Amino acid sequence: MSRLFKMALGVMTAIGGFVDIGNLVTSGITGARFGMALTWAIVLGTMGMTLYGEMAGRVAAVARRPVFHIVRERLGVRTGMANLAAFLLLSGLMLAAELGGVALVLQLVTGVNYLVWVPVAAAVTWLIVWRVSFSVMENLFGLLGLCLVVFVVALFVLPTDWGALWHGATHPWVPPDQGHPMYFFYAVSLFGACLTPFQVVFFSSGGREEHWTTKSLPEMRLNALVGFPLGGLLSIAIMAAAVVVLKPAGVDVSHLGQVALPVAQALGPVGLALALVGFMAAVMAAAAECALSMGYAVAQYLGWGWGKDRLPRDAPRFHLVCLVAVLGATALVLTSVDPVTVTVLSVVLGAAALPLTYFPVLVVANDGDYMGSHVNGRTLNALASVFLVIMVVTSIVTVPLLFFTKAGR
Amino acid sequence: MVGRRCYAVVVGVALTVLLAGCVGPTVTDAGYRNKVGDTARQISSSIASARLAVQLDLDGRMAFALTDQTVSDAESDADSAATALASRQPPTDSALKLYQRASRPIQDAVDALRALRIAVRRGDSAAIRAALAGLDAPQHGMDDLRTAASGG
Repeated sequence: MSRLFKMALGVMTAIGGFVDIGNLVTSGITGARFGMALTWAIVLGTMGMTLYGEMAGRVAAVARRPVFHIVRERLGVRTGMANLAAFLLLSGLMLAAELGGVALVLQLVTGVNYLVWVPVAAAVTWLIVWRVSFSVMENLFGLLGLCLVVFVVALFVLPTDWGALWHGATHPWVPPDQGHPMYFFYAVSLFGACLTPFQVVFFSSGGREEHWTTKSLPEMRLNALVGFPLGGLLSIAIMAAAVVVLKPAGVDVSHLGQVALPVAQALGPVGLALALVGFMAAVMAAAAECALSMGYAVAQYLGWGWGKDRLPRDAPRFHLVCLVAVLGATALVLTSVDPVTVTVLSVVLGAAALPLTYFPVLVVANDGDYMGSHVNGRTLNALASVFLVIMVVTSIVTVPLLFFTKAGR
Repeated sequence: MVGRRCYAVVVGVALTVLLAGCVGPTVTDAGYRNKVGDTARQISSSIASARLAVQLDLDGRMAFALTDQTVSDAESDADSAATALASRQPPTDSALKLYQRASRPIQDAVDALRALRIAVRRGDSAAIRAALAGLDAPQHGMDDLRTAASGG
């Protein structure tokens, strides 16, 4: 019973933990602008995250190696360093976006300007990183993140034309007023939001934090194979709610608060409150995970001691990197740069760097010396290779699309 | 060597981000028309967003802070779009005529959103309803402007 409960809890936290500021913003923007025509990008991104998340989790459990340990081993010290620099840069941007997201949610609740809340968001994030145990952080925020299910409920309350939504999702087309570059720019943003590198680094390092072994594989697989796809469904629900309410009204999403309007229309203040709790849990958890991932990456690459549950005196350099990451991201948000713009940029630039993180995972998952009988099978390798090609193509087209569309404007 | 490569990548990414955010000059009539059309679309979206939030608020389905924020954002976005258009030099006589035709309805839209924001913050239901009704004409103005900008 206890094992069953643990597994159910793991799946629920994976669902709630899948969504972050990137998913909230990009799903809202694309639903309002393109209808359901970009659903395929979420489906593709979620499939990629599920596939590579399972692989990274398996490597962490069997070979007992988290992602940046593998990066250094497989890519060598120098290339690994370039990889680490890119990861830190992009995760720093994402952390700024998440902190900005926390501050924006507090602004929506209190009416006080978000810049006032940025230092508060940073302090709370740092306290979570420093003082809250790994399991409490994961379970508490994962479960609160499930409040985002109100978007699914809202779809049933609203006068949703399910046939039209299904048709839009299964017959993607490019709206003539948007054009192909804009369409593919936002496809990349949705794809990148589902495959954020920090999430796989966190998932894999979390496996080591929780001392996964081969006995943990069923639980890990359940989290990845059930939790992540259901998290992807939440992203689709947010998009669909925007399609039903915002698109017909002619609202282009450019602020986080607009994403919540469909829930307010469907469920009133109670639904709105739940949506805001879900927003807060999703972005706060992601902020802490992102800061931790930066600490994990540096510590794993340089061979320092690391671990969330290790006291700062036992792993001082790991905790210092997390602190510096939070401070740097806070300074960036305090320049008053628009957090929504930072979010879009971070998921798109993150998409450009996807192969750097995911390629080494694929290599080690195929290494019999490390993985023994848990090495990738042929079907899995074929699928993973297809996704790797998609990631490489995505990374090639991202920068030109960024220019052509003026970052999606 | 690798250090230089890293440096080049970091500088390249930073330049990409900066340049992608830059506003380029509008040198053709068609480019200017597109810009006017985009501005009308942005302001139209701001009006729609404010209208939806306030209507939900009047129906008792919103929290005041979110309504206030949505309306303030709408006003600020519309104002920014208007300022961005005004900062561009119309490249031809026909572009100048289009700007002269556009400037009044755009300003009316910004003023209407400002009136709505003031009414919302005062919490005066009658004034809110009046300001909400006052968005109809600017909304039509933006629709007409989009048609004119597209050459219709």
